[in-house]
Amino acid sequence: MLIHLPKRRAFIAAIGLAAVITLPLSVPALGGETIKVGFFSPQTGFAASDGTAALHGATLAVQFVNEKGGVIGKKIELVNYDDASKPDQAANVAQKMTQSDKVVVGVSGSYSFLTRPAAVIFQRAKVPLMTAYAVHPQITETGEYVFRTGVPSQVEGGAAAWTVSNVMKVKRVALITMDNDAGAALADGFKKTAKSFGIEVVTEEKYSLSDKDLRPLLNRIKGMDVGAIYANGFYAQAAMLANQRQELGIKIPVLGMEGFDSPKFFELSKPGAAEGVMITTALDRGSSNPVVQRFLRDYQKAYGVSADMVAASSFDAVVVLAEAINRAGSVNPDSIVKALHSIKRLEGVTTGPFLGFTEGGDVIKPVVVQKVIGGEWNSVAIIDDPAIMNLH
Amino acid sequence: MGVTLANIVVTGCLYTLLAIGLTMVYGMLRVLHIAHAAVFAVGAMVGLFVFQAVPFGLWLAILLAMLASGLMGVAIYHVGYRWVLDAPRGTPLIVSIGIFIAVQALLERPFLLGPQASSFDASPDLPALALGGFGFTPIQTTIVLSTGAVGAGVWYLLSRTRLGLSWRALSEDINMARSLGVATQNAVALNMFLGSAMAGLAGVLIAVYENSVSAYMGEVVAYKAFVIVVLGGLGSVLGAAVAAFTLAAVEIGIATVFGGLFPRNAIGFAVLILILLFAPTGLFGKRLD
Amino acid sequence: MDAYLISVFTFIGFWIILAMSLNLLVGYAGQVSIGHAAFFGIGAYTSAVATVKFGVGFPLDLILATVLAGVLGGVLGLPALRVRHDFLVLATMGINFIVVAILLYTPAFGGAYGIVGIPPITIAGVEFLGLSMLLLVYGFVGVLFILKVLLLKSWFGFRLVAIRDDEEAAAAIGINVASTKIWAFVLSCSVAGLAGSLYARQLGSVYPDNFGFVESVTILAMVVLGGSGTLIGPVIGAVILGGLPEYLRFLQEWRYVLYGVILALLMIFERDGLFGPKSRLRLALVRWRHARHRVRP
Repeated sequence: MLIHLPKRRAFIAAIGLAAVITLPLSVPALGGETIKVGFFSPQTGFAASDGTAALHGATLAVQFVNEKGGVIGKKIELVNYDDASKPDQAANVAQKMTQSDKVVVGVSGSYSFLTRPAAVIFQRAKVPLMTAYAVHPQITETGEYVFRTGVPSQVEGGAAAWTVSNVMKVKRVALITMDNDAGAALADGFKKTAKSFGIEVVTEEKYSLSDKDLRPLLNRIKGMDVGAIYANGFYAQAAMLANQRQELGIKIPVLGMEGFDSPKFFELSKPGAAEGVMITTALDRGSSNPVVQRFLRDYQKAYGVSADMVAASSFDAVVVLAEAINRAGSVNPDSIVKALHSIKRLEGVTTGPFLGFTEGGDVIKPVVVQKVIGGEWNSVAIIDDPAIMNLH
Repeated sequence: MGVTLANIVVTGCLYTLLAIGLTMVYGMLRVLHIAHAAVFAVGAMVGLFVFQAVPFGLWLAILLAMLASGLMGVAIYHVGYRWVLDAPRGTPLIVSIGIFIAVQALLERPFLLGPQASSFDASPDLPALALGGFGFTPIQTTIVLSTGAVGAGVWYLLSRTRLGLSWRALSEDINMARSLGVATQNAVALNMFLGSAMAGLAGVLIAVYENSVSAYMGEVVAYKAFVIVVLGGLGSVLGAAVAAFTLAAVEIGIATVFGGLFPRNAIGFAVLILILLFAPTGLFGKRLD
Repeated sequence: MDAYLISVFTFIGFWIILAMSLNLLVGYAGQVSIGHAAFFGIGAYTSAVATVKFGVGFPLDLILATVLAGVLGGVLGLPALRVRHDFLVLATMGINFIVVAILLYTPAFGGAYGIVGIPPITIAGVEFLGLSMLLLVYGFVGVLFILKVLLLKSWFGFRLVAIRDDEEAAAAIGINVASTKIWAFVLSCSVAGLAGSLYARQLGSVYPDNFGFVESVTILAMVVLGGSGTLIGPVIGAVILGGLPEYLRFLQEWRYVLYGVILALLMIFERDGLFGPKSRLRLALVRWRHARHRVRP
């Protein structure tokens, strides 16, 4: 027994030391209680570009909200997970967030096929989920706890039809559409509204995201008598379209969508290729709203690149949730849901102003039309016609 | 019409560059070398970094990209394939896949390419070549000429040199060739080096052509190159070239006539399966192990 | 039990079923396929369409999914009679792409929108979610495992192995090679369809890209890593590769770098798979069994 004592003492000392060292690690980083906001997006894999931008936007929003005093007197904390673009991982982390981490609210920075499985879980757990930019029409139909701050595709498609008719002033349009759900939703939204504006959709050309060559499609369109091309895609596709259109000497004007709204569009376009391209988007970079300017500035400073629509949408998702929790005065999910529906006008967002939520949980907000002039986005029109904003 | 033809020629050339390298590797090692796509992407990345460091140095970028890719290919052989060449067929494939996954995940780290695409804006010093009424842009010209040079070089190598002879011997039967005194390890390494260097060349050319380098640019190559190689007959370089142009023509032809009827990749595979039903060993295939 | 772990293990359960079914084709019939996810998808979509559009309930949707996947698998088996080895590998890859493209471009199957709102399995008014679904899935795993053991011990199992080892010799002793191969495809693909049906019910939505090349390759990797042609190999492979991404979460964005490295290294060190015929783990298992026998009086 006596022989073991020194060893035992050393053992106890070691345990004690370990406990002392690890103790700070077990205390939450912000010291004291925080309001947990769950967040998930693809941060590895082919969608990581958007997923990372979404994460950045949300992170900035958390800082922004905390600077203003946080939410009901406490700071908010982002609980972040990577879903690697795999739906089973989205489901797994949704369980983790709602059951283990016990987040008060959640934000989806992912595409529709990842958001949907998670939304089902959030709905069952009765935890409010805010979708930043996924476009599937039925996401908010999951239930009363699922909301969306991104412009629904029906609305964006309708806004595009408005633009084609009132700004571009043409009647015959060719569609170039991604063959995924985002592309389908936008094309459907456009086609539905086009009729009421007397616009004829002459052709719809689908392409896959893995396609690197739109020349055959562009050639076909060149031979048809169309006044405009309505295209959808993300920044890489936008640049590809612009470059190949230029290469083929096609002069038909192009109207894109918010996926084009990224600094990468300019970086990947050949000189002059992007000139004249118009898009419908919700981010007005020239806006006098101080929140917009501050967001753009801070994002550039923190991440070294210009912000894009995805980041802006994510930022807004966090901000509007914070606003709702403040209005509710509690973390009770039903109060938060009620508070979200009570918002009739919110200016402190980058893609706003928010003019409320529909019964189903989709945001109502104006759409902005921007045009590339001199290599930069310029505001051309703001569409806040209620008939268009409420299209569903 | 002329534009379509030019497009087919250029696309065919790019497909050929990818397929020749893979055919060389497969012909000798009999491995479904999915990691060829990783080598391709790394080549594009190295080319980009060199070009960013030394503007106007496109040729230096291409050279170093080919060197880097070649060395990477040899490394993959030594670290990965060498140990599993006589393992059951599935094993080297899975090793290759593991390598591809790891490399792609590495490329998307911010200190390399990051998740976003990068621009690769280079204007080669070749003048635009006007051919019968339609013009090839400078990069398209570069692609066509490079492919021609590579094709000629490979043909010469395989049919007129001792190295080529030893390669063909090793491709037929690796053990027999060894016992007949063919210097195996060096020949295999050199084969791997050249095949991979071609992937690197393809990587840079495509990057310049599309003005884009991304960590994920290997995804499509991973399977498309195989479609071409199999179509060509798995191991025949000429077959690969013919298959490359056939596929390019079919894809672009269908897209031109029918628009976005069906995904281009699926069309390529549909063609492949149809051909395989009539020619189970590919267009030029004679091998059946 | 932790809801997160339940979710993770439920999905691993699907991988196990998929790996076991592919193993029948690859490890026993010797037909290497990297298109298996297509049948996973066919099963999932069948259940999706049946439940969402026709209000079909369990187990009818599961049976439909299994049968349809099996029938289409048999159809796939036909070209497999002509095409061999690496050509077959590419052909199966092609089938996968074509199936995904059809799902993506056909509005009746939801097209680009996929199908959402798939209800969970309900038996006698009880919804199978969380733990109950986990138990149901592993119930299937157990039953399928036993069925596989019985199948392999049967005359059919003998035919499979004979064909795998030497097709010409098998034909020479009177085995109907073509029929056996087709049946291998039918059985293998039908079980993949069964997994798909359960998966659709668990996730609540299906989308064409969920059943593509990447998924097929993953299933094959599980089979080969664990040891193709063995009973326990695919199970171990599925658990490891299915669980690794979640386990490696602490590595954040470096997850998949290590995943790829581990996969490649494990394959290099155990060429026949972790529980393959000559692997260290199998030898250890054999020795342990022998040791146990010696202890008994």
